[in-house]
Amino acid sequence: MSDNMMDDARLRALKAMADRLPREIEPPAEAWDAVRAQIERDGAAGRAPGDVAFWQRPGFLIAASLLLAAGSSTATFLALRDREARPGTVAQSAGPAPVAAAGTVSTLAQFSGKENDYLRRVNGLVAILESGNAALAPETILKVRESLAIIDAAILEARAALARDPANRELIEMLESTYEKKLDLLQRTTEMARS
Amino acid sequence: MPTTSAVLRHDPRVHLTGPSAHDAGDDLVALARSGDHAAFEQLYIAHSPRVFALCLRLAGGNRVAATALLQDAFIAAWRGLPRFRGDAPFTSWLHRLAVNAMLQNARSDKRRSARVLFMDDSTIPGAESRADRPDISMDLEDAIARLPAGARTAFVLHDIEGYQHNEIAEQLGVAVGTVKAQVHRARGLLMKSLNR
Amino acid sequence: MRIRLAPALLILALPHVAEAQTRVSRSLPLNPDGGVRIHALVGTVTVRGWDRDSVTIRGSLGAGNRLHAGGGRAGVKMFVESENDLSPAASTLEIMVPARAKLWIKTATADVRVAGVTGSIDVYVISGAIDITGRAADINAEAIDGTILIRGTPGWLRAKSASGAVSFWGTSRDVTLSTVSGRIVVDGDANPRGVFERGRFESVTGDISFRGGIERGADLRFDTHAGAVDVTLPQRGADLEVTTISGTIQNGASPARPLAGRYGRGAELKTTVGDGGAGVSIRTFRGAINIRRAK
Repeated sequence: MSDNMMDDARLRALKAMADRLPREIEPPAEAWDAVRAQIERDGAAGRAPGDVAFWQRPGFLIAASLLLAAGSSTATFLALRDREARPGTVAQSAGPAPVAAAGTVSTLAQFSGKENDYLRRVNGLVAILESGNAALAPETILKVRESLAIIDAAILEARAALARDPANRELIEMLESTYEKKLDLLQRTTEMARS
Repeated sequence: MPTTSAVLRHDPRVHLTGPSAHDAGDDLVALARSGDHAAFEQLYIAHSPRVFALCLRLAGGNRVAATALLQDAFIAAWRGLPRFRGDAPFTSWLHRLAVNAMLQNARSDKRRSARVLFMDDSTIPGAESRADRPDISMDLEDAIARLPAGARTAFVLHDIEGYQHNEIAEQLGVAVGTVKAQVHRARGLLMKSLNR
Repeated sequence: MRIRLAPALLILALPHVAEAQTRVSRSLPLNPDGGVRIHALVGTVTVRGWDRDSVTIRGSLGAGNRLHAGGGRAGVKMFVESENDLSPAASTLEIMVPARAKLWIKTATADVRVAGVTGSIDVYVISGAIDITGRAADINAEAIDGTILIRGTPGWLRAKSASGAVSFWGTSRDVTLSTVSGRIVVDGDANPRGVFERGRFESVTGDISFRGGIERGADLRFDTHAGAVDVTLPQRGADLEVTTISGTIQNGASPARPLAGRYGRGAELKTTVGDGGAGVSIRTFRGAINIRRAK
């Protein structure tokens, strides 16, 4: 048998073995407990799937996440706090009030949950960096703050535009991409500082 | 829309794999989307073994990590139910969420990417030689668990779960060529391991 | 420069010999595809691949620094420890490794240069410069403030800096370059026969410029909030999808003219240039976009 035929035979045998692997494996009995606990927490906070609680609205969370860039982002925090008029509203821009056509609010609502997840994760990383457990030189902290301020400014600009045009999927994707960059920078900084 | 109790009169696992599986599953999804915890629990009971098999293989046989991935996937499913349109089977959607959870964990873990092959000696290739464990027979599950992370993910998704190269590339955010190369690499490593 | 060292667990974990003298010269055996892990604080680390199954460390240690190195044939680790961690002296290390080794390097402000390594390369630097040349199987290079320069044809490339510039002179089938404010420059003409298959080029305010061959069926995406984007398409052309929320689009690659965006702001352009076949997507919030075609 030639080498190629042997390889083909072995590959067929490997595929046959892979086909015989079980497609279902019973998870640990206690796995459901954590899932149930989380969806009950969501329910206790008055949320159906996809909803977000008032106390998790972006305004409250962005404030915390700006602590690391406090010096350059105070104006941002104040502007956001002032713009969060009441629960259920998105940040208003200085421009015309948003015109939400029928069926477009779901786009914003869909992103709100994700946005809160981003902010929660950002806050967690900021807490680590501010706890002193992660050691960074002052010059590095300054550079990181500058970069975070740049990212925060971009987030605010995109959110302001989204308030005027809530159905704009491109804008939502851009905003999401910018949040990812913020998260990525904080994660990388935390990891580099730790080890 | 049927009530939860009406849908749950029968063993949901049988219900969801029988001739009327599609309708019963749709009903449970619809109920869960409206906030019905019991319906979501039934979806979990019906689908978790399939998702856990995927999670366990993606996690290299680590049951603790696999359980965490499973939980992350179902929590994401609960929160994402309003976005589930039914364009794809519910199981496929759960699989995507499980793979996303794995990618999220990989990003936040000390292993910044699958390319970092070692952080401690036990993961340095060859650090644990077969001479140290002469009585171990390498069955396929064991061999898959020992694959490098990138090759393992590609092999599990392609050769076990049946996804196409382009589907895997899109979800992992890599080139199709990279996926093909990883699948090829995995097969080569597995054939070598299994033929010792 | 103040850096608090992590607890010296690495030192305790290694079978090691501490070098007290200023000059360093050590050799350790290593498998051709073994792992090499380098931890240095300040100074310069230069790594070159060679065709021997060993690692050789040469160089000079700054005052008060000690080199710890050890491991087995499967993996070698080395670490420069400083007596004065508030202001560590610079050290210069030149390390030869098997060409197919798997490299992992982490420094604070040390510059890192790598050449001739064809295995995988992971480099993490806070504010030093990263310079990697060659045909590595894959490269992951990350800096907070440092610049990154990659030259050659890695199989897979990820390079990220926040405020430092990221430059890639060469081609790779799969590349992601990302900055916050640093400039991104891609010059694929440095490898005329190479092509890009999958590319992600992202910044918040950093400008992005690109030119190089693109595979038919490729997927290239340029994404920036406020940076300017300058893309030179190959002669073959591409299928373009270009959007800017409030910026401008200049299309010098084809006769197609951009249309006004939503509510009359910004611009959009969706067109095929030349034979098309490769997907190129460019998106900015307000960065200006300029598209050309190679002659």
